[in-house]
Amino acid sequence: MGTNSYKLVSEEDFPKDKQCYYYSILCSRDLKSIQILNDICSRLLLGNQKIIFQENDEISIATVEKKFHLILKKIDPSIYLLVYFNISNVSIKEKLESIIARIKYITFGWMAPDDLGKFENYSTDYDIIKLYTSYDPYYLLKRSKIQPELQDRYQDRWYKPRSIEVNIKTSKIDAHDVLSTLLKKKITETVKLSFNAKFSNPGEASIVVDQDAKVIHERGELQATEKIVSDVVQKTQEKLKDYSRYSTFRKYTKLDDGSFDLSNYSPTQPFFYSFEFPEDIDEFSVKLENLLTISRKNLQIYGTRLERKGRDFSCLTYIPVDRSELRLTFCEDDGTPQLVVDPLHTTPLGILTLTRTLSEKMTWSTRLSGFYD
Amino acid sequence: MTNSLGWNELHTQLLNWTFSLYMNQFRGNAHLANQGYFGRPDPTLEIEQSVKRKTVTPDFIATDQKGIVQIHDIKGFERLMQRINDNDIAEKIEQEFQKISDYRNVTESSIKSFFSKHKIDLKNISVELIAVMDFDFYIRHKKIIDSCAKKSNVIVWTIDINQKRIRKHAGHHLDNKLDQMFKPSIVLPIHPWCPALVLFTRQTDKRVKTYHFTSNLIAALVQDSKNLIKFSEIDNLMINSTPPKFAHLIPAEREKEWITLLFEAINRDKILKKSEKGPDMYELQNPAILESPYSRNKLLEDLSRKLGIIK
Repeated sequence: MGTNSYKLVSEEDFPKDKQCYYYSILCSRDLKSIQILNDICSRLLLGNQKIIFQENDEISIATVEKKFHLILKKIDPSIYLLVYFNISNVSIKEKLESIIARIKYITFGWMAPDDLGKFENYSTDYDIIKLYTSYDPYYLLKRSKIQPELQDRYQDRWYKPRSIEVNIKTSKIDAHDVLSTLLKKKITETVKLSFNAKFSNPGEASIVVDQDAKVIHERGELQATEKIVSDVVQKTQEKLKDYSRYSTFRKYTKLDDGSFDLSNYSPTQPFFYSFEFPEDIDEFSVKLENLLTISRKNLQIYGTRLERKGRDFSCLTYIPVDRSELRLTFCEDDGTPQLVVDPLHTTPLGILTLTRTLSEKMTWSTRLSGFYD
Repeated sequence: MTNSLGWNELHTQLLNWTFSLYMNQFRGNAHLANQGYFGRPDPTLEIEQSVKRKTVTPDFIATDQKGIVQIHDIKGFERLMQRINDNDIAEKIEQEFQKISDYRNVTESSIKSFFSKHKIDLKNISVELIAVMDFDFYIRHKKIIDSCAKKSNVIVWTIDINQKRIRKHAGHHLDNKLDQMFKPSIVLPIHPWCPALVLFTRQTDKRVKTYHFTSNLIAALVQDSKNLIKFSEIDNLMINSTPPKFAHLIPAEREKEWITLLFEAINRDKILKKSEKGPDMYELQNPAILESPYSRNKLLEDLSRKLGIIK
């Protein structure tokens, strides 16, 4: 790890006392980096402030003078790296993040806790792990005294996340325990790992990596952080490559009469998720069905329930990022609950979104396997 | 639980399994493609009776690329399956075989023209007719089907979705190799579970078409965070969705389908409405759909309940 660095930010431009943010952005459309940057900037609604765009190969830069820099680099057709830092004292970070979350054809990358754990290798004597958790609205809804027929009317109330934040500062050895045990007890929805990385060359930096595959350069040498950034991007690439064997491939040729002929088709490989021993399978099944159909605010997925027999159910679930359409069947195999995925259409991006949603909202013990692996 | 694709939309499933035999990509299971056969769904052909010419739309057509042409009919028998208690089922089956027999009069020129767009040049054409039906249906009415098939010289294939088998029960193929192949039965690909080679066919259940049309329209609007669609954009959107809808039909025929589906989405299902932003522009009746997964779920479930797809 840490063999290359992107060198996206020149030392002259970057004010030493500021933080620099690196976002891995996954995109379902093969666009030029300037197209995405334009879309992001137009939604920033900066009024009459002039944005200067520069475009060079696969890198595009947007600058508002004396305010901020945005740099977007296309890494491959589905991964882009967005770098942001501000020059003034007014930060647009929050706004930027909420805009990215609202553009549906792109999504943040994902670092699962196991992946985050691997960055401990870079850390020195101590790590700070920030754990953050929010109540599950369905947990509340299920226990509410409102009659079912009135729940529609009050639904907004249950969609407001109520959250508490827990910060744990711990030594490196314990950090691993926290990541591997506490997280698996689904205590957290948001995980951050902060550490100091030291290289012989370029040097040292204080860095935060979170589950959105966002890397924050807090202080030190930018190039040291960029080494970590390249690792994060590489991890995401590996993950997408791993999922690509489950995605569909169809090629159509346009004929003279305007119709399209299916000239190449590689069938989907069905796959399934297994979950380790949920405490209460009945409740797990209801919660899972809700997640996959009614979904929740700020989540990508939604769907239609087809059938329910006892604990078993099936539904059609849609994922807007790549317009995935999946038929999902929940059943038990030898006492182990399974969610069988039969994709009508999906891409690695859709699978990543589904896996992440299940891991974060249901249980970290979610495991994906193919039927023919 | 039930096989996927639509919801028990048997016609589309049977058509897809038939199609899979002719798709090279299914390798070992593309039994007919491996023999040099090429087949595609929903052809538009012409028949000549006395001096009149009439357009017909069988469910599937295939050729060995030398001269043998197979025309398959599926829908007729699927329709009969829903009328198990009919006393006059025998008569209905006879009528279906009569209808298939009409395909014997399909003009050579219309067959040649269909295959020529796929770059296949046919010289002397001999046609064989195949009735494709569900295995259980066949077993239930074996006697009458066998006798009709014999009388009208139609080959009968049955598809057993659970056992993943295609069997031949009556008639002889012009190509001896095929008769051999069917002894005892042809194994369908186990995987994928639903081939989804063609999601919408001309004969796909209207309700399934409506549901998928709506869900795709919503998915596209949500992905673009856009509450406006022009009629002219719909074709492009459905062609570019995966799997594409009606892509194998010609643009004029697709347009007719979009008009029907759009009209229903506006007037019957109250999903879209005319936009004031311009002529032929439409927007969602409930714009909350763009931001709220709950509203999308509610709309789709209400629609499927209304269509009778789910209870």
